Amino acid sequence: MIYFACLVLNAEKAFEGYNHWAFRPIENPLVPKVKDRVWATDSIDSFILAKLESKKMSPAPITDKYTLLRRVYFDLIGLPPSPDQIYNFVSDHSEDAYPKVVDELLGSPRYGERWGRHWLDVARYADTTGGGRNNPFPNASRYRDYVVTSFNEDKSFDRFIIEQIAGDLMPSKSESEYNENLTATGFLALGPHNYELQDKELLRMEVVDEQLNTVAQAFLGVTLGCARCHDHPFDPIAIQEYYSIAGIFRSTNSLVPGNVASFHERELLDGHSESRKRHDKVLTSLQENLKEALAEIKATGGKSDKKQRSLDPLTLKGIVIDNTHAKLVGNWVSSTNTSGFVGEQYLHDDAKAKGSKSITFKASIPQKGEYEVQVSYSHGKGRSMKVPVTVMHADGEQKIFIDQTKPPSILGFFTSVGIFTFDQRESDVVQITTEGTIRHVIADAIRLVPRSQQKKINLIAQNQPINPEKKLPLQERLKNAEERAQKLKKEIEAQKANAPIKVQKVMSVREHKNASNSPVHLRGEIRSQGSVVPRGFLVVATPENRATEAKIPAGQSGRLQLADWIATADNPLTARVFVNRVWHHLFGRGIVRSTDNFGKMGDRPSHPKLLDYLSHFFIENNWSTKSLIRKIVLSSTYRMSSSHVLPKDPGNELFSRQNRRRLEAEAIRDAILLASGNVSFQNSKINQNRSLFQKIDRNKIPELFEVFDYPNPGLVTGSRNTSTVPTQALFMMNNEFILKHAKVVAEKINARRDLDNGQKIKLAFLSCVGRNPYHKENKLAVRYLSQSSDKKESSIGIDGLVHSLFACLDFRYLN
Amino acid sequence: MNQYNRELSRRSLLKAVACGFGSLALTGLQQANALTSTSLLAKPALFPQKAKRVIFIFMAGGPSHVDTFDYKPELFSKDGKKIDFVGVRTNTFGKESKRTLMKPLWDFKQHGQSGKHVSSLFPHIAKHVDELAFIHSMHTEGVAHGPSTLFMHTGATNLVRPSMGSWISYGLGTENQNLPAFVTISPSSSKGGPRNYGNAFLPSIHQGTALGRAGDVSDAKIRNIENSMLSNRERKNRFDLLQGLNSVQNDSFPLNDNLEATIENYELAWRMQMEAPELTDLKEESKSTQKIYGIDEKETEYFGKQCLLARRMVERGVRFVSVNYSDESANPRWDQHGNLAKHAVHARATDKPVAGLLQDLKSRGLLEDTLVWWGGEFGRTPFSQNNDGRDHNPRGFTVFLAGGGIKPGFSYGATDEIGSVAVDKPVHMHDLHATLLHALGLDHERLTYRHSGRDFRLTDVHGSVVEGLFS
Repeated sequence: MIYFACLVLNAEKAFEGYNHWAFRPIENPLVPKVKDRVWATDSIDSFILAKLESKKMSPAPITDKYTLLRRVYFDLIGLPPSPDQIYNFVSDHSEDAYPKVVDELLGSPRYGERWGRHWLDVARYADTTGGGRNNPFPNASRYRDYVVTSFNEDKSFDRFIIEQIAGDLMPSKSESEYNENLTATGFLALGPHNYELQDKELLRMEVVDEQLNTVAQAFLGVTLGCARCHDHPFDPIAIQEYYSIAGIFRSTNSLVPGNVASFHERELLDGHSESRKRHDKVLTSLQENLKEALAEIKATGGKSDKKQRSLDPLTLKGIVIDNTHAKLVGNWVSSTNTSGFVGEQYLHDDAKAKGSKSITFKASIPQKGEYEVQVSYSHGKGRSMKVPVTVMHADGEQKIFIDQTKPPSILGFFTSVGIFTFDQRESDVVQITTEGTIRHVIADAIRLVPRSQQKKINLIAQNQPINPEKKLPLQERLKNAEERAQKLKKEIEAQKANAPIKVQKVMSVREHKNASNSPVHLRGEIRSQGSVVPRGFLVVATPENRATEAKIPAGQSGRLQLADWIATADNPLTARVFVNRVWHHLFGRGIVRSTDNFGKMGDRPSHPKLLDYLSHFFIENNWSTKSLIRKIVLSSTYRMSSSHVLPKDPGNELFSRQNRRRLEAEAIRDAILLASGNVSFQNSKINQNRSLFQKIDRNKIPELFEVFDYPNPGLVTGSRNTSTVPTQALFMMNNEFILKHAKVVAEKINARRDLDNGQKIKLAFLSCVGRNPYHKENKLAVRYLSQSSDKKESSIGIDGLVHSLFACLDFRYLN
Repeated sequence: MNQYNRELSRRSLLKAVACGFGSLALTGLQQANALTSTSLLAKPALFPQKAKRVIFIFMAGGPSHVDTFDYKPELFSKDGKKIDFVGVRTNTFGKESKRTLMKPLWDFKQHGQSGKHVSSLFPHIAKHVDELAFIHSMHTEGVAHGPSTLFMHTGATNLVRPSMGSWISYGLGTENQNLPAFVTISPSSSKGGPRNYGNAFLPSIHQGTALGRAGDVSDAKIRNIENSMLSNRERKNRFDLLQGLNSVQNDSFPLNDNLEATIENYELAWRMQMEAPELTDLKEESKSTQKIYGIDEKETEYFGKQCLLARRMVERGVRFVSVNYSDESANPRWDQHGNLAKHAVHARATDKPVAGLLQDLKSRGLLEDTLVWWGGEFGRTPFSQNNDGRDHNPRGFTVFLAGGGIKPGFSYGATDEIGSVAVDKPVHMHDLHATLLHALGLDHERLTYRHSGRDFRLTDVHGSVVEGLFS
């Protein structure tokens, strides 16, 4: 392999690139004539067959019904058919048995969960930034759900594109439309950025670069990254064009500034903003009154009830985060032994594994400003005297040590670690570790008190409320106060129970207040700027009669114009790229193998006319993904057997058969959960167990996902790797998840008392691999089960059979 | 290694040639270069070189070079002076401001034939100076821990790129097909986390395998290698049933390499279950070996175990081993913005284990072809911060290399007279990456991988081999 990345071809050579197939207009080719008109039921088949016939080859026969059903179930909804569904299908001999199943699956809500996930691969979806700080994306899942819904509703794909690039700029007729459009722009905000990068000008450009690369790869199948530093070495894209699009994203505001910068979150409309304000006002005044009542109780000699043991976070002012809402690393023990804690419990480290444990408190700061940071702990002799507390504030981090043997000074619960500035956002604010400590470390709660409220709160803490009842006898005052406190507590509870729904936010972007054209960055260096280029589009993908310069109203970024330019029928790339993605998911490879690269370094289409035919069909059918999928899966080409290997086409370049395909990580997991009853076909809560809904921490991919080639969620992925490595074998043989679920499935099968052993074996096969056992397989299963009687091995049984079936080839592969 | 294990390794090695990890690890339909890039079979280097494998000892948080190996007499004499420094952080970027110099907290003495100055923080490593090559003119990218740590591991501060261990696995494969090619011991999940040992767009077999968690080596095991729910006999029963089913199912697909590979991977996994648990079992090591790593002392027990594990890995043919001295906190271990005196704790925890590793590698003849790299993601400033600490310094710091054909007993390059900026023969992190690959017989400009239409490499479009480091 020889390295060429920086080789800049001369302009003339680059010019040849304009004739590259992918940049020519999409045509509507004639459907070729074929001999075998029985096999060719759809125009797709004619394109495939014509090529085979020209090489004197014939296509593979249509596969058997069991195989077809399992294939189309996984392909359309990502789950296998149940034994009942298999039975119904194989016994339905009507002509439309198969189309009926296809339509049923396309109408199932599980369809969007399957095809939405394919799009999330492209959108490099995740729930954290990954990298350095790995900041969470608390609202990323709204984008994920938007994608699922869009596929379920079969939203026209051109609109889907525009929403994701410029939804915030689209007009909307209703609140729900506004919300949907805004949510879509999460697409731009989901990048894997290191927001703590200190050179903020560089960070800004890195975000821009990531956004424009993602947009270009996802929708256009071109890689623009090279053109950040010089003209594209392979494709006809000049450095100026990179910066003409970069200008659009530089005019988009994607960063909330700060020492550790952040992404924008914008509020959705829900018609509750007024009632929310009213509610908060009432709640604040009730809490205020309660505090006064409690102070009065204390001042008149009563016991302010929970005072001795714990403080109710409800009654505290400021932002209180209890340990039950904190992120724990290592083993922490909960306790209520020593009084003086907030909430239900406090945690301690058991004075073990020093240095490896930590607790991190995350807070949502309502507005930027100075806050006093307070930490609560129940003090005692056996505590550590030098507990490291790190405050992560707007200007950096500071480590402070607290002595937990001393009683805390504020209210007897909290100690102050200083006043810090925080930005308006949700982020980790305080971390307590056990490093360097010897005795017990307590982690209880933290409180952030806005500087403006500090005096007031401390006054109350010092028990000097203004008391209108001063003149009454103490006894009576106490009684009054106790009654009042009791009543207020109830009212607070009631008020909280009646809270209007919390305002919902989504990840998004904004328009930059200085929207303008960008200069070229010479050699990609942000501080060496060349001439300014007008915002616009790629010349090579713009039809001759259209302008390459964007007509952008003053003050706007140009994202809407860019989105319009991409989502049009005469952009030569957009429809081709998406149609090819769909084909890839239904055949295991695209008509163009390199799904994310249609440029010169990508692969050429094996069936260019078919690709154009389907792209044309797609556009004509209002960019409907469901119509496209339906057309493909009903074709003979899709329904071919995968086991029929022609010597003339061993690599299946011509689609002379279906490809045998390994299931994706999610499909493997979901199939197991379906068999064990933890996922269902119906709309139900347990479907939240589906893999799609697992939180994706970029720094901690779930193990099964990692083992079975879950894509790197930092990169656009149109085609996943399918590796075959021993870690997969180890996972299938020994991982607890597999073993536990095999047991559950076996219990379900064993519960069928009406079945004999032979029928149980059959049911196990149907549940796991979607077919009856072959004769030889049946013999193996019988032999395995028979060992349970001669050797005293209690674990031998159906669960061992199910375990082996989960691990076998036909479970993991789609035939 | 006892005789039994030696024999087992040799046998597995032979087996590997026939049907090992690598030859089986074919990836799917779409990779054009699937056959060459997804194998872990040992591949010849581009040109013959001494280094066959690497141990990278990562000192997370940025140890201060001026308090350890970069002796600056002027920093002692200028203690307390105010000097202008150009800021590198967000709020001070490019601006000059007065900072107060702080002298090193530890005394320096000369050691060995080479007369190398080492501070009193590292009495054990000091005994090995004649085998070490110090690079005093390191400089790098990023100022915060996350970006710099990622840059050191992957050559990129923000973009998702493969780790150097993954590149080396991709370039050279591995010598023991029963073990991963790239192992990282007790990595932190923060400051870049798994991205520091991730394969990014390289085939997933080149991903680093993590053993243990930051600050804890007690569970340093290959995942899913053990099975607590089933008896050994039942495991065998199920394995036999599974392979029986697989062979029936495979018969209906004559030409599919992936199926063969899956079946043979089960065979291999079965063998790994036999060999790999032994790998991480330190009980096999003699008392005296454990002692030189300081495993018998409380302060050095953890890091000593990590270093000993590293030796067991390279001995068995693992290509790239990272040993992480790190934790999960916001301020990684060597990150003393205040209370620099705490460096003594970290030096105490790592000095003896590292020296022990060097000694052990040497006595077993492994140092000759194992390249050891010790260092952090950056160094620290000569000026003080919070009165008694030092800030991050990516513009000048020290790492040392040993073994693997590197010239021993000398120092390369220099920072200015107070240790602030690399001035003489500066070595950028990209250069160190290029040099590392060179030591292994790989050309950093030719070790490329095509991803989404571009050829990528560890050093992007930068880096040059530091020829002066080789003997």
